[in-house]
Amino acid sequence: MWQQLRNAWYRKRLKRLEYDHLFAPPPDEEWVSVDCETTGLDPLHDEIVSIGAIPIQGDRILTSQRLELIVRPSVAPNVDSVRIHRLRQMDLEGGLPPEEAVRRFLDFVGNRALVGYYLEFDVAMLNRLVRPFLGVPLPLRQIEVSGLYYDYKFAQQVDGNVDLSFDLIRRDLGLPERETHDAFNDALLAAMMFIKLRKLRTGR
Amino acid sequence: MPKSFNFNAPPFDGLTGEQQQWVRDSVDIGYYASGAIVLSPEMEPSHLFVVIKGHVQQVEQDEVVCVYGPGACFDGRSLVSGSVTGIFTAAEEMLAYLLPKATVKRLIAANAGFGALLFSDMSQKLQALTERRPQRELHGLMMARIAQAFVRPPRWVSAQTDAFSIAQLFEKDKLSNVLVKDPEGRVGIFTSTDIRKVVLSGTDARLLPVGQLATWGLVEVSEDDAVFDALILMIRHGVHRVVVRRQGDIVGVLEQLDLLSFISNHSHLVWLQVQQATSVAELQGAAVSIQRLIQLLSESDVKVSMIARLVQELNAKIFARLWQMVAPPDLVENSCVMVMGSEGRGEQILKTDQDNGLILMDNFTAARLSQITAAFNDALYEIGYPPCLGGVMMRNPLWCQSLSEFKETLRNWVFRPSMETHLRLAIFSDAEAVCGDRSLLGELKGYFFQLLRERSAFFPHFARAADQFSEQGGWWNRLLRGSEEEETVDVKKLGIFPIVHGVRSLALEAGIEVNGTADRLDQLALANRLPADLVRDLKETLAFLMELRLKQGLRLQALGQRANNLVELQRLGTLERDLLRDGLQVVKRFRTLLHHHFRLDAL
Repeated sequence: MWQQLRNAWYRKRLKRLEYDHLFAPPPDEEWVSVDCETTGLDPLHDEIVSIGAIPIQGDRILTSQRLELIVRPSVAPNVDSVRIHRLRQMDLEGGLPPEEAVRRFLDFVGNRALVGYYLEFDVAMLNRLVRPFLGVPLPLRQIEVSGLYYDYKFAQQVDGNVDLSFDLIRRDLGLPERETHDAFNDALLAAMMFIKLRKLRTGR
Repeated sequence: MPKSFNFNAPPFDGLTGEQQQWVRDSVDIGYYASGAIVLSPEMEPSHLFVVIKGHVQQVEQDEVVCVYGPGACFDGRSLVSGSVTGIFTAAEEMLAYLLPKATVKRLIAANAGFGALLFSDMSQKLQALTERRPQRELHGLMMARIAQAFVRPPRWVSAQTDAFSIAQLFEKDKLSNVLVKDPEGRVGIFTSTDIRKVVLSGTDARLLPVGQLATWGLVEVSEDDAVFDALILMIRHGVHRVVVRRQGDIVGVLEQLDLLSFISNHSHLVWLQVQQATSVAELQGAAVSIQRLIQLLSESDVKVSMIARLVQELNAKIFARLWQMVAPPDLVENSCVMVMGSEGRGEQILKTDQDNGLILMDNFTAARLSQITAAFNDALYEIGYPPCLGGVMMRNPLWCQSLSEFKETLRNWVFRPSMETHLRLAIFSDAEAVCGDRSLLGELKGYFFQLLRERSAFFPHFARAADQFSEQGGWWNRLLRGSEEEETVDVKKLGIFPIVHGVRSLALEAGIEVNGTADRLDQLALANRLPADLVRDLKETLAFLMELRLKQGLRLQALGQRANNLVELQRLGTLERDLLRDGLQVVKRFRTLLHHHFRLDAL
């Protein structure tokens, strides 16, 4: 309800009318799992260095149609973050200018709902690029896998104390281990979590 | 996945970098809840599934015919034929890569090894398994130039020659291929296998120009390339022949068979190394060469029985040479060193233990005998032959006796049997002389057979040992389930030992004096004591089990561990598991026969 109102408001303020379709209701049984690696953890000052996005269709993760973008940040990434995402300055120099990255990302996701782990952060980071481009933040529906996991766990146990760390969720759901801190791999794991949690919830 | 897709497991392990990219670019991931149907006859097969996590069962007529676990892929056959046989269900929640049909077809077209592994018959699959690119350190021998190997001079024909004349030429000159030249100067090859195409084309062979059926675009090597490169090329391109050039001109054709025999013949280099050794350290060097040779042969498609025979020869040389080093000449002359057990049968490939003994001429007394025998055993240990845990070594007085003492001992063992003496007799019955006066062992064995003839009641008890490691009903289920990661099967206890000992019992009873299990089986078949088809199955099973054990052993040794008899099910492909299952079935059949034959149930 609130989102509808908000989106109606955003829609009027959209700078680029060719992106009006972002406001259309999301398709059934289709989502896009998203993860971003950034220069740091501060959404106000840090910037995106890479975006990984993988479409999900029903029970399938369409890795063949994945989107992997390297974005050239305006400032050099700090040393600590390089250690995490392993994209060095020299790797990033071949990256896309932010506006081009945003355009490709928006064209890729369309009006599909976004899926992710601590998606709020990724969306906040993305919005730093999207806002100047569209005039409004991302209007897409967002599905938080740690939220799904919390609901699932909460329905099972009474004490309501749920550990929501990424690796713990992965292990608890019996998903394969992958190298994390890579936008693509993290997006893939989030996609697996999403499908599995959806299954568990619908009880199918 | 794109990033972590396992390209080290068959059939994907033979892909080139570019082909791997095709996979990365087209693979999706599917999720299947427990019990979900993955493939069924009503479905149009559109993907090849590669299991990431979980297990899938293939059920045909209410029977589970196959289980696919992590890393396994299915179902190549239905993908190509377009129809699914059986129902594939997720036995537990499963994640799998989905490789679209188009990519699979593209890979099949571009990579012969991939196609073969994916949907060939069992024998072809086996063949393909052995054709994979060997990954090992370079062996000195493999660095030999191609010019040193046997390169057959080319036979040229023009592309217009009719297929019939070619077939005649093949027959007359015992050729297996000719090189074909067309008017534009292109070079192709026409092999005896291509004769099949002639027949299948339905055209009169006299009217069919060979150019139409020849293979163009040949794999070429230079005479100066390493033998190793030629082997790699053959494996990579799935061909059995490469064309050899010298400064641009074609000088011949190198056949895989010739290449492999070249490599195995070079075992004489190792032999020379043994002959020239003057110290234990040098012998150890030779033992290491044998080890490398085993590795090389195992990876180059050479039958395990051939490897075993070769290794037996070479080991015998090492034993003999060592004995000459530690023993004074008069002792060498008046005694016979024998090796026993698997070494005597020629079935010990990787050094698992040393079973040896010494027969002394009657009335000969050697000075410092105990020191000499101990030195021999210690040196063998140093060279890499672990000591025998059962004490079957010549330093043990029980295995170092004069001929007449030995006879008396054997007599006691045969007439006062116990589990322990049966074991000793089993080991002794495989004895092979390696150094010294061989007639000593000959006489002792003659006496042994005579004893056995006198006491036929000996056999049932002796043969019963084949049953001592009877299955606990577990392996079948484990094979079927195959899910637990650390599951192992002791191939020696469940397969090799029952076959070897059962065959040994039958052979001793029949008075057959050869040592090797395969040789004994042949003799048993000749004497009509075993049905020919069972003999064939037993030989194949034994060879397969030995090969599994060898591969496992080589892998463990590469990791710096000791070889053992435990084969990890997790490491076996679906196909190998099937073969193992079939093989153990053969063992079961054989055991039943032993039960009837020796009336074991009446004991």
